[in-house]
This record gives sequence, structure tokens and C-alpha cells, in this order.
Amino acid sequence: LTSGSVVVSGLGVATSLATDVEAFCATLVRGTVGIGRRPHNGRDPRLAPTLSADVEAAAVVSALRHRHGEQAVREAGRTAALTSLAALLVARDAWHDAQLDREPLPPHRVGIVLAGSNHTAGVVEEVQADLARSPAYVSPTAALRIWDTHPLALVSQSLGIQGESAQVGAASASGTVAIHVATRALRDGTLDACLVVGALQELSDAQRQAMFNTGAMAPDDPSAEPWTRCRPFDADRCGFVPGHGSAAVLLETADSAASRGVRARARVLGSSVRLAGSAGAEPHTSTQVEVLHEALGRSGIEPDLVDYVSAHATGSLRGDDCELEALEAVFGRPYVNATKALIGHCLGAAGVVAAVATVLQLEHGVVHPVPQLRRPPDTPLRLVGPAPVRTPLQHAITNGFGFGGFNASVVLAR
Amino acid sequence: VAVIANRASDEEPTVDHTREKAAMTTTRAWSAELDAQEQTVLAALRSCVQQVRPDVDTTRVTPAVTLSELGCDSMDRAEIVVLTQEALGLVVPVHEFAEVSDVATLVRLLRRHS
Repeated sequence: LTSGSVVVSGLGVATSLATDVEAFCATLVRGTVGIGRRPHNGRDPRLAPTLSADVEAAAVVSALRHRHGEQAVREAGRTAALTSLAALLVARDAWHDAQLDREPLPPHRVGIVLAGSNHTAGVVEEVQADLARSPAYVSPTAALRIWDTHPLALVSQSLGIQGESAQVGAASASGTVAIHVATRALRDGTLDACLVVGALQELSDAQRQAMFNTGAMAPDDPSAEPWTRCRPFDADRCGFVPGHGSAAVLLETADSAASRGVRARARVLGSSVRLAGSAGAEPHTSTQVEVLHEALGRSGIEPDLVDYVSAHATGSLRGDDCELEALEAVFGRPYVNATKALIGHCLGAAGVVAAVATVLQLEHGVVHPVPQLRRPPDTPLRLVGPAPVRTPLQHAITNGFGFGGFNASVVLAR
Repeated sequence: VAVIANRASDEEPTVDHTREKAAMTTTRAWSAELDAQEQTVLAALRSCVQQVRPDVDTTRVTPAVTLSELGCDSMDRAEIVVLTQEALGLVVPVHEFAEVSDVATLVRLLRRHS
């Protein structure tokens, strides 16, 4: 089953925990939580959302300079947004990991799928400030940077990628849907390799407050440690905490990887995307069940073969309950954890970050802990709490569920 | 944005060395004629070139040279011109840049509006 099969040949990741794959893996296994309180920095003190898992731009620049040179930093441009810097970093890391710098492919046989939308809030704020000074001083390059596709364009320029490419937006399911879309382009022969990049989402104060006002975001509690506030599946959970994260997976046909002599870190067995036919925020258990079954069916495996589920689990009251119900309806007793408990909800990039975390857990035979899970629900599923579980893992499934009825699942295997 | 495009250099990237030598002579002659105000404009322009293209040697920003010859593309040039206007606290109507070819004409145009 070589022809038509798709493998993961490279990884890159930058989150609040770490700006390289190895360090990210180590923090996952330890169950380090990257959630903290945002410094005020002159922001309106009335703004309620204060919890976040942020990445400092300096850390991303330093990693980019250290691993890829000063030229790589310059490629992002003078006014580089954090999203662009992080995209270049994770893309170059995955590229190097897949040995595409040493064993290249024809530029038109490689594509990019950028996951996520509405990640240009920072550019909009900058342009508004220019505009307030004088319309004549609005930066002309903002005309380039205002497009969500700008990080994709920078990556294509940086790595010389010229094949079919697009941005994929599916709210919080963007990353998972992007992997699905890239896999199809590989299976149908359009591309030999495709770099899926999850765009780091910097929320504006307004966007952040709107999400908070839906009631889905965890409120701060000055008497509690910030890291305890995000508790997916726990009885005391109170909402999600947003996080900065960018990740890249280099997907490639098994034939291409074999002919380049590159080892597969994991295989993508199958995936599914469905809409619930709803423009709201509410989750849909029945659609989730359908998506899980369809992804498994396309992968040619029975539900019982799934050892590990990387749940969408944001820590929201209703969302976690619905997902648990869907998982119970489909599976026997797989291990289940929630990576968002450690790095926050990376929104449009979340599905790609989760895919990286899933591949690492498959490779190392470990299911990362969730230190906040103290009062787990009564369920036959093996929800992983404060201690990591070391066990051989063969098959995993990762979920991405988003506002607007987006539901997606991807099945990965060693 | 076709402003401050040097038409010749955009279409003909090849360098004519005789022209370059002539330009260097002109540069020296022209520089000598820079008045204090023009020197200020040129200094601001150099600083903005540095911000937009840190890889360009700013001592090469001389009157007879074009920004295109220094490797600046159309977006770099537009960004440099907007930054320089802000640095000098002046506003030049965009269409006036159509007549700009080299650094000399750009400096003169900016000075006219200061």
C-alpha cells in the first residue's frame, strides 16, 4: 500500500512552551503548562480576558536567527508580524527535518496549505495608528501584509515553493481541515509534497473580548494560579484559554519520501470533514460521530484499533461534554488527552499543532499528561490526568471542531 | 504603485559601466552642490532605506543612482518614500512621484514640499 499513501516527513512547531520540536516534545511529556497572565502594557484595564499562552516575538526571532541565519529573519520584512516570523520558523524547521534542503523536489511539485484566517489583526491596528497620524503615512506594504495569505507567500518565497497552494479557513477546525485538503492534493497526484502551516493567531483586544463575552473563555481568578484555569474534561472547567501557536507538517507521498530516501515520521491514513449546517457556536455530537466513523472508514481501520485520541477539548462546558459523548459512541477504551490544557487554544493553527503533538506521542509511545484534570468525568474512556502514560501507540485520531459547524478528524499511524 | 520607478532600470537590469562611471562623476559634482536642506533630506532618505532594506549599503544612496539599482523593488520604494515623508513631516501628492527617476530628483521633490 505504497501508492496513494501519505506520510509525515517533517515537523516544525512554536508555542508558548517551546520554539523547537524537541523542546516542545519534552515539555509535553512533562506536562508543562504555558498559560499565564498577560502583562497590562497600557491596555484598557476594563478588558476582562487576561489569561493567555503567549509567545514572545523575541523568542521566535532568536530561534529563526540561530537555526536559519540572519537572512531568514530579514525575509519576514521590516515590520514582520509574529504570525509571519513564526510561519517562516516552523516552515523552515519542517523543511529541514524532511531533508528538502538536501534532497529537493521540483518547485512546482510542492505546495503550501496555510491553516487559519483573520490573523492580521496586528496589521490592522498598525494601519489604524498610521491613519490617525496622516493618511499619507499609511504603510504601502500594508497592502501586502493585510492579506491573510501573506505568511504563505513569505514561506513560498523563502523555500522556493511553486506548486498548487491555498489558505484554508474553517474556524478552530482550520488546521485539521488543512491537513485533509493537503492529503487529497497528494493522493490525487497534484503534488508530491505539501507543507501545511498553521498560522499563529494574534487576537486583537476586540476579538479577544468578543470571544470572552460569548462565555466560552475562562475568566481569571486572582486567587488561583493561571495554569489551573484551563481544565478540559474536568468537572470544574470554566472555558478555554487562547494561545499563540504555529506549526508545520510536511506531508509527502510515500513514494516521494522513499525515492528521496527520507524516513516517514508517521502516516496519514485518512480524514473527514463535515458541516453541521449551523452558523452558531454550539457543538454537534451527531456530526462528530459521523466524522469519526468516516475518517476511520477511509483509513480502513476499526475504531478499536485507535490507541490514542487527541481531543479537540478546549475546556468549554458544553463542547467537552459533546465530544466525550461522541468519543464514547465510537470508541472502546482509547487514551484521550487535551493538548490545549498545556498550550492554550491556538485557534486556526490548533489542528496543525495537535498533529505535531500527536506524531511526537506516537513516536515516543507516551500520552502526555493533563495536570489540571483532577475531577474527571465518569467514562469508559481512559482520560489522561496528571501523570503521563507510557505505552506503545500504533493508531491515533486528532479532532478539530470549530464555530460555524466545522467538524474534522484525521487518523495518523506510526 | 509605479511611483519612483526608474523606467529604464526596471526594464533593463543590465548595468552599463560607462554610464555608471559617468554617473559617479556626476554624483561628485552634484553632491558638492547640495545645500543644507537637501543634505537633511538625503540623510532622512538614507535612514529610511536602511530601515526598509538593511542589506543595502546606505553610502550607495547617492544622487545619480536609482533605488531600483540598489535592489529596491516597487514596494520597497513606496515604503521608503512614505517613511521619508513622515520622517520629514511633509506630504507629497502621490502623482508627483511619477516624474522621479533617481535619488537626485526624489530629493529635489521632497525638498520642494518641505
